[in-house]
Parts: sequence; C-alpha cells; structure tokens
Amino acid sequence: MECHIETTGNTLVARLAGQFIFSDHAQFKQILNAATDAAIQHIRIDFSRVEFIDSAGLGMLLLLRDSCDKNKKALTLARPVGQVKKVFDVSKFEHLFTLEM
Amino acid sequence: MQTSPVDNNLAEQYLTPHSSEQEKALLEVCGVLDVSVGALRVIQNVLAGSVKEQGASLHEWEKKLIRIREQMTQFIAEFSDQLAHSQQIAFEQQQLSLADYNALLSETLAHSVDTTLFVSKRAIMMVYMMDEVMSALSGISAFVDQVKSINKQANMLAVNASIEAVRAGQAGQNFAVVAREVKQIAEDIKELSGGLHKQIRDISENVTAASGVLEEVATVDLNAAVANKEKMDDMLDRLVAQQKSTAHMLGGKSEEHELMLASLQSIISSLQKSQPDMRPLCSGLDEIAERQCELKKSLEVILQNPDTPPDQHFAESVAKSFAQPNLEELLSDALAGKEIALSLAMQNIRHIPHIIKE
Repeated sequence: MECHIETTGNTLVARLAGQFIFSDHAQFKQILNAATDAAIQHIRIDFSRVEFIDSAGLGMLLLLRDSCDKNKKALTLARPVGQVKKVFDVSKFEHLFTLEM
Repeated sequence: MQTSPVDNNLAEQYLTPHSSEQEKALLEVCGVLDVSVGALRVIQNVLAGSVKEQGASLHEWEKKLIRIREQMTQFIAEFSDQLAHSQQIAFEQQQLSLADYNALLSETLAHSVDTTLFVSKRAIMMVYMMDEVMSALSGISAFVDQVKSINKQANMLAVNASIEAVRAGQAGQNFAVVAREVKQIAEDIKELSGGLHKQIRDISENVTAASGVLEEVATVDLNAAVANKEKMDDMLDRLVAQQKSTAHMLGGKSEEHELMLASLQSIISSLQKSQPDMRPLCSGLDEIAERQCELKKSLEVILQNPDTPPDQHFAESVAKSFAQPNLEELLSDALAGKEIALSLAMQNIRHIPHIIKE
C-alpha cells in the first residue's frame, strides 16, 4: 500500500492507495501515532484509491478509532469505493465511523 | 280488485216474469253454472298445485345455491388464511414476517463479521505489541554488543597486564595472577554475551513466527462476506417477489370468489322474485265461483217459486255475476316482471362457468 501523509494545521490527511492488508501495519503505525499527537485534532483517511481491504485493514482502522476516541480526536474515513465500500457496508462501519462518501 | 262494469240491461231481463221456456232456459243456466263452478274449482286447484310445485322447486334451487354460497364463503376464508400464511416464514418454531426474517439474516451475517473484526483487531493489537517486544530485544542486543565491546577492551587490558608482569619479573608475579583472573572474567563475560545473543535471536525468531501466525488470524478475506450479503439480498428480493406474486394470485382468486358469491346471491334473489304471486288470481277465481253459486241459488229460488217475481236480491246477484274480477289483469299482474327476474337469474347462471374457468 502507498501512504501519503500531510498535515495542514491540526488536521492530518492520509491518502492511501492500492491494497490495505496486514503487511501495511508498520506503515499504518504513523497514522496511529498521530492519534496520540497533541498537535493533531482531526485525522482524515482518503480511500478513493484503495482497491482492496481485508479484515486486518479493518482491524487497524478499529484500533485507530479506539485511540482517537481515547484521545478525543475526530476521525473521518473518506470516499471509499468499490470493494472497500462494500466491505465497509457489510461491516456496518456507518455506525462506527464518520464516513464521507 | 278490478271488476267489469255491471250490465243493467241483462239484470233487468231476469227481473221480468218468466214462461216455461224461460224456466227451461234457467235450468240450463243452472246446469252451465254448475259446470262453470266445477271448472273454476279445478282451475283453482291446478293453479294452486302448480304454484306450490314451482315454489317447492324454487326452494330446492335456493337451498342448493345457499349451500354453494356457504362453501364459497368457506373457500374464501381458507384463501384468506393461505394469503396470511404466505406472508410468514417458519423459523425455529416461530412464524416470522419477511421483514423480521431479513433482519434476522442481516443480524446473523453482521454477528459473523463482528466476530471476525473483533479477532482481527486484537491480532493487530498483539502484532503491534510484538513489534514493541522486537524493538526492546533490539535494544537489549545492542546493549549486549556494547558489553561485548567493553569486555574485549578488558581482555586486551588483561593481556597487556600479563606482559607487563612478566617484564617486572619476581615483583610482577602477583600482578600476573590478577591479570589472569581478569582475563578469565573477560572470557566468562564473552561466553555470557554469546549466550545472551543466542537467546535474543531465539526470542526474535519466535516473535517473528508468532507474528506470522497472527497475520493468518488477522487476515480474513471479507469478499466472501460481501458475496454472501449480495446473495442473501438477492434471495430475499426473489422471496419478496414470489410472495407478492402469491399474494396477488390469492387476492385475485378471492376477488373471483367474491364475484361468484355476488352472482349466486343475485341468482337467489332473482329466483325469489321470479316466483309469481298467484294468490290474487286464485282469490279472483274463488270470488267468481262463489258469485256463480249465489246466482245459481237465486235461480233455483225462482224455479221453485214460479209465481213469485224475482226480488231485489236476485237482481243484485245477477249484477254481481257480471261484475267479475278481471282475471286477465290479475294474471298479468302476477306475471309482471317475472320474466326479467328469471332472465337475470339465467344470465348470472350462464356467467358462473366463465368465472370458474378463469
């Protein structure tokens, strides 16, 4: 998976591309660390270029959600498409996350 | 009751004195009156019998139709039950509506996905913890390397000390003993460091292997769940369509049955209306017969008392016998509208096979 991270003000935007799977956990740690960063108030992950996600990817997102809740950060999962959108749908992510279509 | 106008001229004729020829004529009239009364009674009986027979026949028809109507009502009730039943799905001794069944299936699938995500999330959490362990092991390994480096220097120092002790001769003998001990300690530390390195390597290998296992645990291809959800939705859509079709069919049948019931009811009502009321006609016949009897009695009085001129009573009975009820009109009244009612009944009867065929 490609992961491009940029911070504007107190918002961190992570643009992901490709397949979001188990082996990306080390790369995802950067985003997880942002949840404990006092300078960051909002994390936005752009999924528009993610083609595939498995349960490991969802597990990482759930961990991020827990960390954001604990540290009172806003988290938005933006523009999921194709298989990612279907997987979010079947996992009822609309009840767990702020989704931006 | 409609009556014919009184013929006063004829009545006057009977009030005049009569000869033997008139007497003979009167006797003939009496005979004719007898025959007429007899005929009227016969007609009356035949008419009454016919009406009774027709009534009984119609009653039988009514009974049959009422029975059919009851059966139809029962069919409609059974259809309604089937219609209600077709909207339910039996599941674990419960009757679930399609909406409830859909909710149950979605809940089951969601529960399965939730379980997968629960496991994946914890597996990833453990992987991150193991990463921490690996990081700590790297730190320990670096620390051991540092110890090894210091130990190497200590060993070198011990070697140098031994050389200096040899140079010092007798005075350096004790110093040589210390140098050997230091060297031995350095050897021991080297051995311990090697052991520590091996253990760190073993632990690292195990942690890496555990991470591999966790990867297997954490990774579930959710495309299968997505495909199952799509299949389930498709199956439910088909089920809904099938139920709608069944409901539509049963609803159509129910409407047809209601239509048939209405036809049967209409037939019964038409048949009831088609039965002519012959009572006024019978009563008219009876009245004529009675008047003719009365006339005959008056004529017999005249015949028995030839010298006595006919009195006012005789004149009245003659007049009355001519003022008879209009039988034609009575018959017409009795039959009025019956043909239409019967025709309607026949029309409805002819329509029933079409409804059944449909």
